[in-house]
Parts: sequence; C-alpha cells; structure tokens
Amino acid sequence: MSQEVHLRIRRQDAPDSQPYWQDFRVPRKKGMNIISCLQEIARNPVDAAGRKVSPPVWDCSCLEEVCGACTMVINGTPRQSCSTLVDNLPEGTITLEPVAKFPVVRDLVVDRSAMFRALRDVRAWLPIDGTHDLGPGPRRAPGDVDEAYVFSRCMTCGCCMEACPNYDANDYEQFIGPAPLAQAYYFSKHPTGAMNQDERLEAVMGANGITGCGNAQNCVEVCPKEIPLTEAFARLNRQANRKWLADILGR
Amino acid sequence: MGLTDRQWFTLRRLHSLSGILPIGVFLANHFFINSFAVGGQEPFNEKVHFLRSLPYLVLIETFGIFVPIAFHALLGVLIYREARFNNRRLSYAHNYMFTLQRISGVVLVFFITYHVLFTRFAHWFGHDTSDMYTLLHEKFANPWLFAIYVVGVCAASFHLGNGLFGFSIHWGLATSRAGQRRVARLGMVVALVFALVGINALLGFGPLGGRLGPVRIFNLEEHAPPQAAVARHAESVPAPDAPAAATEDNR
Amino acid sequence: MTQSAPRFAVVGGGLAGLMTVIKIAERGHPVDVFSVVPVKRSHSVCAQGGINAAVNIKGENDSPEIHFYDTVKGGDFLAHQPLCKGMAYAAPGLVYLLDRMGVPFSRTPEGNLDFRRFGGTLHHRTAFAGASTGQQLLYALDEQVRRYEVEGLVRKHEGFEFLGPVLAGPGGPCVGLVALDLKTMEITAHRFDAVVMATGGPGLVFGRSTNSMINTGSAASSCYQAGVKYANGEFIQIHPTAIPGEDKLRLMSESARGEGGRVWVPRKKGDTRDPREIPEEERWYFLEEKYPRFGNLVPRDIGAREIYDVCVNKGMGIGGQMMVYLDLTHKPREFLDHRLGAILEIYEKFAGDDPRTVPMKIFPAVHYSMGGLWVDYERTADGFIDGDSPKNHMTNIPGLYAAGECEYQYHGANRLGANALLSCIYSGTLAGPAAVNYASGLERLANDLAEGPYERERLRWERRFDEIRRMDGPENAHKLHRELGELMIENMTIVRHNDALRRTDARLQELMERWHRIGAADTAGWTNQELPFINQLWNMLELARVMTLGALARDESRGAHYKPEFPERNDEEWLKTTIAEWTPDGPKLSYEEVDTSLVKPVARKYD
Repeated sequence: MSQEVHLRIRRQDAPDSQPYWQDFRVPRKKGMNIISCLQEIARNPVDAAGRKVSPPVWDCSCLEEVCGACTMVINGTPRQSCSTLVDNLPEGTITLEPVAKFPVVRDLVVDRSAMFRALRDVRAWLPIDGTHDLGPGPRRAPGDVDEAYVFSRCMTCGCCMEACPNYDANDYEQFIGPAPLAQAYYFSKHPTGAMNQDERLEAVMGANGITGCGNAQNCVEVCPKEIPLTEAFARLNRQANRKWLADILGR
Repeated sequence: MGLTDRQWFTLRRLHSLSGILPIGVFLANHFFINSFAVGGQEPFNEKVHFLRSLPYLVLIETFGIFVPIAFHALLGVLIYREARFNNRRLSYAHNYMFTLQRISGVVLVFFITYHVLFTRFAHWFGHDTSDMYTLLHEKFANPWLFAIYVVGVCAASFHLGNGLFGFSIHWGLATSRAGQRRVARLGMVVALVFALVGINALLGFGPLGGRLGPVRIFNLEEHAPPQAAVARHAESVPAPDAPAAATEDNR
Repeated sequence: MTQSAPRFAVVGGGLAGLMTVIKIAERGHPVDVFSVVPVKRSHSVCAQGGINAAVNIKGENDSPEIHFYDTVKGGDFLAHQPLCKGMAYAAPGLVYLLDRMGVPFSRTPEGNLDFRRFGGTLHHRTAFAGASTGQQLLYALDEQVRRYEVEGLVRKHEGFEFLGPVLAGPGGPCVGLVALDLKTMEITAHRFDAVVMATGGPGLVFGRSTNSMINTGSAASSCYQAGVKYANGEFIQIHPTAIPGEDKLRLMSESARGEGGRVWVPRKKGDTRDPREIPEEERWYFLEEKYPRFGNLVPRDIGAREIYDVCVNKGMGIGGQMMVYLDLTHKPREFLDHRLGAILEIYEKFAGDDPRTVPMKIFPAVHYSMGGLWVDYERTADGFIDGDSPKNHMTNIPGLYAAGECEYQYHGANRLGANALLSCIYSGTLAGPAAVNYASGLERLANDLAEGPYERERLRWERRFDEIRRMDGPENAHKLHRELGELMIENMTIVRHNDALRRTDARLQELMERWHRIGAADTAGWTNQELPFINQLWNMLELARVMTLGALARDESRGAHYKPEFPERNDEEWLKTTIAEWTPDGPKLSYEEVDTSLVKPVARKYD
C-alpha cells in the first residue's frame, strides 16, 4: 500500500469563476478519512508539485455523520467526507468535487439553502398549540415510531438531491427533490401531523412536487442514513392520488 | 405554462395512467392481432379487414389510440427534458432503467410517427393498402427498415414493461422496497414477452425477402405461407428451435 | 415612547438558541438568529443518549426532587441549586413538549415514552429517540423555528460568525453585535435590544474532542474579552467512552452502558488475546467491582478517573494504551439495533469492527464544559426560579444573555449524562422571556441610538481582520492549534498537577506570542476559512488561559477537577465559583458564593 494518499480536488475560486483541478499528496495514516486528509492539507498547504497554494475550502462540522455538512462527490459518488475512510476506497487517486446540483460557493463549499427552503415549502413541522405545558403528546405504537424515526434521521446532507437525475437546485421550479418530499411524508405520519396532512399534500402535489420523481431511485442508493425514500414516495403518491380524486369527485 | 399546480398534477397522473390504459392495452392488442402474420398473408389481411370494418372506427382510432399516444408523447418529451442523466457516475440498475425509459420514449415518438404514416396512412403515399401483408413483406425486404421495426418493437416493449414499475409507484400500489423490486422484475418479464411476440409478428412478414420467417408454435391450424414468399422460402421453413437464433440475429 | 418594537438576536442555533428563539417568537417578537452553520447542523445533533426527566414511568418512585438531588450531587455541589431545582421540576413538561413537537421518542409497549438508565442515578429517567436523541430534539425545535420563519417572525443569518457584542458604553448595555458573513467576508454591525449567546462549548481548545469543528468557544471568548465574566472555566468534562480518531474523537454514548454495556480490561497485564477469547473470569470489570451500587453507571468524572487509574497508574490498558473494552456483545443484536443503532453504526463505520460481536475499544475524551459565561438568575423564596425576571441568564453586561453550554450554572463541577440537552432547553425557556422582559423595560431602543458605537465596533473588527489577512509569518494556524490541543489534553484533563499547570500557562503565553507570527495561508476575499480560524484560535488561547489558571488556583479535587496533590473536596475554602475577568495581562480571578441553600453538601459517594 502506498505511503501517501493522492487527492485530486476540483477547485473554484468563486461562484462565477472557472473550476480547475489541483493535486495533493498527504501522508497515509491508519483509519484516516477524507476530512483528515483535508485537515492535513490545511496544515501544510502545498500541492503535489510542491507549490504553495491556498488550502481548499470545505464544509464540515460534526465529523460523525449526523450534521450533514460535509457532503462531497468522492470518486464520483456523493457522500459524507467524514465517514469515507481512505482505506475503504480503491487504491489510486481520490477525486473530490463539490456536489454539482447546488451552486458552488468556493471549492468544495456549495449553497444548499434550496433544501431548507424546500422544507418550508412542504411545511415540515407540527403545528403545536404552544410551548406551555399541555401534558404528553399522543400515545404512539412503538412500531409506528420506529418507522417514523428512520425518516427523522435525514440530516439534509443533499446526497439524494445530488444523485437524483431530475433534481437541480438551479431549477427549483422543476423538482423539489427527494429529501423534502420524504420529510413531508414523515410529518404526516405523526398523529398530530396527520391533522394537517392536506396542507403538506398541497405542496407535494405542486408542479415541482412528487410528480417530478422519475423513479431512478438513486436517492435511496446513496442515502448515508439508508432512509427508505422510495417507499415514502410511493405512499405519498397514494395519499396524493386519494386527495386528487377526493377533490375531483367530492368527499 | 399557465397551468395551475393541480392541473399539472392531473396531467402527470393522466400521463402515467395513459401509458397503461389505453396505450398498454392497445399495444397488447396490436401485437396480438399482428401476430396473425405468423399464420401468413391470408389470416393477417383478414384481421386487417376485420379491424377496418369495426363500427365507430375513426372515433376509436382518434380517441382510444391517437390522442392518448400523442398526449403521452408530448408530455413525455417534456419529462425527457427534465432529466440530467448521470449513469456514468451512478451505475445503479434503476438509474439505467430511468435513462432507458426516457430514451426509448423518444425513440418511440419518431418510430410511431413513421409507423403510422407508413401503415395507417400508406394510401397517402400511393400505396395499395388492400394487401397490407404484401406491402409490409416488400418493405421489410430492406434490412434497415426491418431493423428499425425491431428496434421500435423492443423500445415499445421495454417502455411498457418498465412503465409498469413507474405506474406501480405513481399509483401507490407497490410501496415497499421489496414490492417495488418485484414489480420491476415483473415489468421486465412483460417487456421480454412483448418483445418476443412483437418480433415474431415482424418475422411473420417474411422479412429480408423471405430469408427470415416466424416461429410457428402453439398454432392449431397451419396456414399457407403467402404466395409471393413461397417460392423463395420453400426449403427453409425454420425448425422450432430456430426462433431464438433468428431473434438474436436481428437485435 | 418609541415607534419601533424591540429587536432580539440569538447567536447560535443549537437547542438552547432555538428554544430561546421559539420563546421570543411565541411572544410575538421578531428575532434574528446568527449561526456559523445552518442551524440544523448545530452541535446539538451529536448528543446521543437522551434527555432526563423524572416522569417515573417505570414505577420506581422517581421524582423531580430526586432528579434535582442527583444533579446537585453529580455536580459536586457547585451548581446553583434553585436553577437545578427549576430544571428538574420543569423537565417532565419539557419532554412532553418535545413529544408534542413530534420527536420520535422510543416508546413502551403501551405507547408511553420509554426511559432508560444513565450515569449518576439509580432510576430510569432518560427519554431517548434511538441513539440520536440530540439530533431528533434539535430537528424538532428547528421545525418550530421554521414555522415562525414562514410566519415572518424569525430571520436566519446562517453562515454568519459572531465577532463581538456592541456595547453602548464601557460595561454595557449590549445594544447589538458585529458579525462576519463567512461567504462574502463582509463585516456588519447590527442593532439589537437584547442579544442571547447560545454558542455552545469550547471543545476545540483541546484540539480533538467529541465536539464538532464549530465548537471553538470563540464567541464566548469574545464576550469574555469584551467584559463578560467567565465562570468555572477549569471544569471540563472528560467523557469516559470515546472512539479514537485522527480528526476527532467520536463519542460512544453513556447510553451504551445505560443499556447494559460493561467496561473491562484483561486481568493479565499486557494480554494480547482477542477480547472474544478472554474467558469471563480473566476479565476485570473494575467499575462494577469498585462501585457495586452504580457499577458502570458512575458519573463521568469518576468513570474517566477510574479508567485513567487502571490504564496509566496500573498499566493495564489494552495494549498498554489508555484504552479499555466497552462490551455489549452479551446483548441480543435486535435489542442493540433498536436501542443503540445510531451509535453502533458510528463505531462500525469508523472503527471497522461490529460492536454487536466484538467488544468496543474506547478511551476518555474531552466532551463538555461545565464552565462558561457568567450569568445571573432570580430565585423565589421557596427556592424556585422567578421565571419572569429579566435577570435570568443575563451576563454582567445588561442586555447580553447566555444560555446552554456556553454558560455555567447548571452542572457545577460535573455534569450528569442526559442533563445537557435538558439544561440547554430549560435555559432557553428562561433566557427568551428574560430577554423580552428586559427589552420591554427599556426606555430607548437600539434603533434610536446613534451610529457611533456600531461604526466603532465594525471598524475595530475590520481592522482586526485586515491585520490577520496581512499576517505573513512562518507559523501555520492549524499546526499551532494542534499544539494547543496537545498541551491542553496532556495537562488539563483527568489529572492536574500544579507544576504542570504553571508550565501550561507559560506555554500558552508562548503560543499567544507565536500566534502573531502566523502566516495567513489564504488571503482571498471570498469564503476564506483561514481568517476566521486565525481569529478563533486567538480566542481559544484566551479561553485556555482562563481554564488553566482557574485549575491552577483551585487547590482541591471536585467533580471533573482532580489534583492528586489535593485529592479531597474542600468545601470550606473552595465551595465557590471561579470568576475570570479579562485584563490585558491575562485573566483576573475572583470567587463568588454558590447557592447551596436547598441541599446541604455531603460526601459524594457512588459505591
């Protein structure tokens, strides 16, 4: 095994400037992840040819795959750079690119605010009466909660959005994307959330809603939290169709 | 486009529905009726005359076949334009299906346009439409044209079979991952059956000047091969195991 | 009477910050949130085990009073008792609130909230959502905030770094803040009538810890340098169980022990066998042996110290290292996946072994700061908190508040597991209304003030960043940071010696000198991560001195602060809060009494 890790990083100085590739070599350490490679570059910002360069800019926070910040395209696949261990990647150059579906801010940092905007659009919350003490919430069957819990682990990382062939943040009107749709489903699963399921469905049935899903199912393949997105979409479709028919035929 | 969200939703749902009903049903019927060509000139032409004698034919053709297909095609092209294919990076099976579904759709737009002009409206181009069998036999003497038809049949078969998968999700029929996988497999079986039946029907016209012929199995009654084809074709009636090879050659 | 309405800022979008936002917005006031990351990515997501509330779902006669007592005792009596009492009594209601917000808490077969055991208590008191409770709670609050955002009451400034408060004059009041747009690098001053700091802990002062990369403590340090008192800085919690890593030390939640995980080392020193091949009688379950009552669930300071003792003093760590086994392999796989799935996945992904079949190798790591910005509170005669008082959670600078890990009141010398999420949320429920009540009593609102202080502060920070941008010395900021971390981990964690602490402070001052010789590796004017980091590094160095000098002065052992030279707790001299005030020559220490009127300090025993 090589003593060095060779990284090719796609860099871009500003949103409107031309991207370029830069190569780096960092000493290989056991158990190291992509983040530790980037940290090593920051400590010693010199490219593979020995030139002093500005250290690449990237997003990260928790480093344990719960915050969703450090999404990158690593060797062609969107994933979290914290949980991507160098030892688990094939030998050879590792390529790092910013996710392509969101506007690049600089280097590996992209602007994923469209995802948060989408959460507003699908009304991803429960309309509680207030924060004063009103006693416990509705009782819920353990099995129901377990099913819901899986969706609640979505960390808005954007891997599914990047993988989805129908999604592009630059064309938000076209498709809202997998993650927000799954959240709409999640909130309607809750007994309280079910009360205003119709509001969420209204968004789901919007022009950029569930009909934008083309069933490529890449989302579910790349989701780091293994959220059953495509199951949610089928169920959402069922709910949406029911509403559609009810609205046409009358309840 | 000036449509409300709900109108767009309705169009997308009708798009999904129209692929199965009536288009899928029509395709099944179309392939089956055309399989009479396996029996030869007489039974085929007989069925053509029968179809031409149907009451309300123009209405059936217009609203049962033409309008749905045109609508499905038009919206399909819009859907095609939404996609940003990423198969090279994300080579998951469903992602290939997603791409193939769209490409086959576009292929079909061209193919069906040609096919309809060339058969249903052949008389516009001065052809004698009283003997459709012979007309097709002569046309299929051209290997390119025959190949285009094989591609068209395969595209239609795949598009329908894989369309079943999308349909099952759009209508919330297959919700679990396993269920969706089962439908996808079923869809491929349907596609295969359609392709085999469709190609055999094409072979029934004795393409390439009769050098190829259909597989005749499960037929209760042997019909005489068409007069024109008999002379050139007499020695080489294919053995029951030949069809697979013949089909293979023409893919 | 002014025309405009008061304006509020909350800095930090973790549990404490978002709860504060909700409480302010719920009262109909517009509120601005500043956060370096989208609030949904705040460090609260990393909390795993759960949140304490004495609901007594298991019929164990648990009660808020016992929860209160456990908290005070767990904090070695340095916590402010009225606050702990208020928190313990509010806890069930808060957990129910979170439940109503839709947190997918794990359930009992009857459909009630389930509770599990945690350290420092004998009761099942910890509500949990799998093993990603913090993430679930934060998302629930984030969703409620989003609702107010849609209503137009909340404005988010995500990707903005708080640089410092704007004070109307020396000593206050606070009338706004200066923030750096991390994308455009633009520095702007903003007018607010009250500013609530909810900026979390300073884990990065220790280089690698269980904290997120955003937990630099920089914002709190900046407030300290602007005149806010910093309290109990020396109390740093070391979590006994973490997973080693090159980039960070990932937490292995206490819930692993709460659900039955056992800590052991081989009885034979230097035993190199596969742990699965070491028979039961050759394993030393040292916590269970020494603490038969609490066993593996002793509080964290004690757990970490015992591991240190076994590994360093007795040399019995795995492979001679500071490492012990945390064993869950006796539990059924299905049970583990259901109750602990998220954390076992983390171990599996980063350590490569399946903890369901192979005992985990874990070691202690810096986890939490009990100390933080000094804040006030108003108690009632019966020992509760006056929830309407504008004094609650206000720092010594009027109008500047602090809530969550960045303040100091709730955990004394050691925090109990699953009390952090609770204290963050509870402090938000106090700080929000307090800020509102403070601002509504103001005669002049920030909007009516002259431009002077805002422009002055903005220019000061612009100059500061210009200077940083021009730094072209030989030092690399990240390398200096690593040195700082190594220094602090070596001398400021489980065991502290006065001579080492003196050396540490000298080294810190040396690092501060070397800081001036840093070369800015990136001088770009757009999304430049180096410049803020160099600024943060200075703030970390300032805080490191507060911690170290606080520890040096405190000649006793209490909670997480342990000096072998002074192994006993000394209530007569040291039952008091350390207060550090910034001066150009380093922190000036003073002390303040702790309210211990409700529970008399007794010996802290768990065996």
